[in-house]
Amino acid sequence: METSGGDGEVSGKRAKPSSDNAGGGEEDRISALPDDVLVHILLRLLTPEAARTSALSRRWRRVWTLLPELRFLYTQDCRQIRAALEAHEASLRCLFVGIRDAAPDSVAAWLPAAAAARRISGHLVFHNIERGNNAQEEAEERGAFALPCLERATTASLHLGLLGLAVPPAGVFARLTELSLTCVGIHGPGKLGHAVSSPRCPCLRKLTVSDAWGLDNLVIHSDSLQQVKLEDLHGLRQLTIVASALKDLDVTRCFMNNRKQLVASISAPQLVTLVWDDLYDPSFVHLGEMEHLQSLWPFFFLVYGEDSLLHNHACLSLVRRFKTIHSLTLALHYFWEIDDFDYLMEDMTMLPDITFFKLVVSANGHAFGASAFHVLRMCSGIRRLMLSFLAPTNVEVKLPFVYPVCLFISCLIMT
Amino acid sequence: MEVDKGKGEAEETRKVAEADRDTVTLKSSDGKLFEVSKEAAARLSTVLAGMIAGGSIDDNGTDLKQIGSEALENVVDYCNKHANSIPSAALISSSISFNTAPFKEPEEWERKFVDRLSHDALFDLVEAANFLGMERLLDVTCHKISEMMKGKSPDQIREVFNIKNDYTKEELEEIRQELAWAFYDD
Repeated sequence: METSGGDGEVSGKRAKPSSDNAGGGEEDRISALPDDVLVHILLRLLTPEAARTSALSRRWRRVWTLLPELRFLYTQDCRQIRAALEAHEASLRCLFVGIRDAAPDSVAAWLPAAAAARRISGHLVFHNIERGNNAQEEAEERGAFALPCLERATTASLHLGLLGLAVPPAGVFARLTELSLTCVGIHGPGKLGHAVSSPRCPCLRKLTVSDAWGLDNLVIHSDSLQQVKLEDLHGLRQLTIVASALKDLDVTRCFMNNRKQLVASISAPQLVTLVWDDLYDPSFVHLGEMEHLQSLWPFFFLVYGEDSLLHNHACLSLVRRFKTIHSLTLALHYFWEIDDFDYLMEDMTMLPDITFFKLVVSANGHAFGASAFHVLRMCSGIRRLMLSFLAPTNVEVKLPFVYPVCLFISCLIMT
Repeated sequence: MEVDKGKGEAEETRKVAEADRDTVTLKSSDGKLFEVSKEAAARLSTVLAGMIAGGSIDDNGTDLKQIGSEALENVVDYCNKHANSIPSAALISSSISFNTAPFKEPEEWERKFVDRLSHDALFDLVEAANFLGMERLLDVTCHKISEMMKGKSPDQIREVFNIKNDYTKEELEEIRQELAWAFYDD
């Protein structure tokens, strides 16, 4: 890029008679452009660089303050963002902030300024790049900053790099349609479930909470949510979702490391897709009527293991709930070492009527023909079959984290 | 356009002929004529699209008094090249949700297209693109200009664009202090 830019300049200058330079009479073409075109140019620069054009001449003094989007990347000092927000005048359709190792109080210094004073009217993206060590204890030591009420923002994506987020106890996120919180410790005084429920988030359609600590009990009542993804909510014990418009629900690895006192209650009558990649037992997971459900992805099934495994029980008892299912994804998993384990496929005695069957196999070097055939024998009515094979992995250590990473090898269509 | 053939008026025939033509003729400020595909013109320029839809396209050359022949030639050249290029996947899938990049990057041919321009020709083209409401061409040319600014100090930028510093020393110092946050990572 630098090179091509440089070349352009050189050829540009070469194209002009050199005598122009002597008289200093070369025209200033850029300053003659209208404000909206200059804004168009400055939008392509990071905000500090755009703001520095103030120093060019009087013509440029306030051009950068008209920018509808501000972008900070790899900033190490949050004071820079606060100062920029204070100097900037226009309302913001986008504020993008990327920081390394932000401290909670420094975030508290700019985020409220952005929300209340500057009034973000569009997208807020905050990405805090963590130091790599994701120890929970450290996150707690680093404290929390208060999430301001984003009254006019339409989407917010906060990747907090283990910073704590203090949920406000009141306030309405009136226009928010998408909220994503990842890598975050959730703190009081407010409850996250309350904050994202209908009275306070009346337009929220898509909610993602991933890799979060501090959510012991999550209760969401929403008339607007269509998509909910909850992934790796460490320490979650109770989950309640009442969402009349919900179509996609994905609960992944929220309960599997916390097997005591679990209660989940889902009421989502319009649900179309359910990924319940997690422990399941009808005694503690209450799934309401799901007449419109088309697609199901239950917990994975271990082909070899100790008898009465929680995984396999979770998988089979969820699948058993349904007599027919349009699309089923079933993951068969082999540990590296299987010598001391029992063959568990015989526990799987029936499957629902399936139209589209996706079989995901992570065989880790073992022959999987028998187990795959065991499954396929039970679904004679399928019209499409997709086989996915996962690359061998060091499963004993990383089991929960690897199998969604699908290395797709072959797709077989049967009529 | 629905035309009642029974009437057979000369006026109608002329209109039909105009509607059937698949190019439009554009006339630069210095009187030169350029032909461009009607489809590409309507797709790439909101102003030309409006003129075509409104029937204010002149068969003998639509006057574009604000645009010189060199810039108009570049506009027409861009339209023709655009019509012949296959958009890349990046351009087709533009569903940006939490994307950091505010704009679609120029295609390789678009880069080359603006790289070969002289300094003045580049600015003539920006002005023409702005005047004609050619969003994509404005993107490409503004991208080129932003590249010429990137990583440069105010002094260097002034030199590249011949900007005259009309601040006093005191004013400049004041700005530097006010915008210390923007300068301190130099």
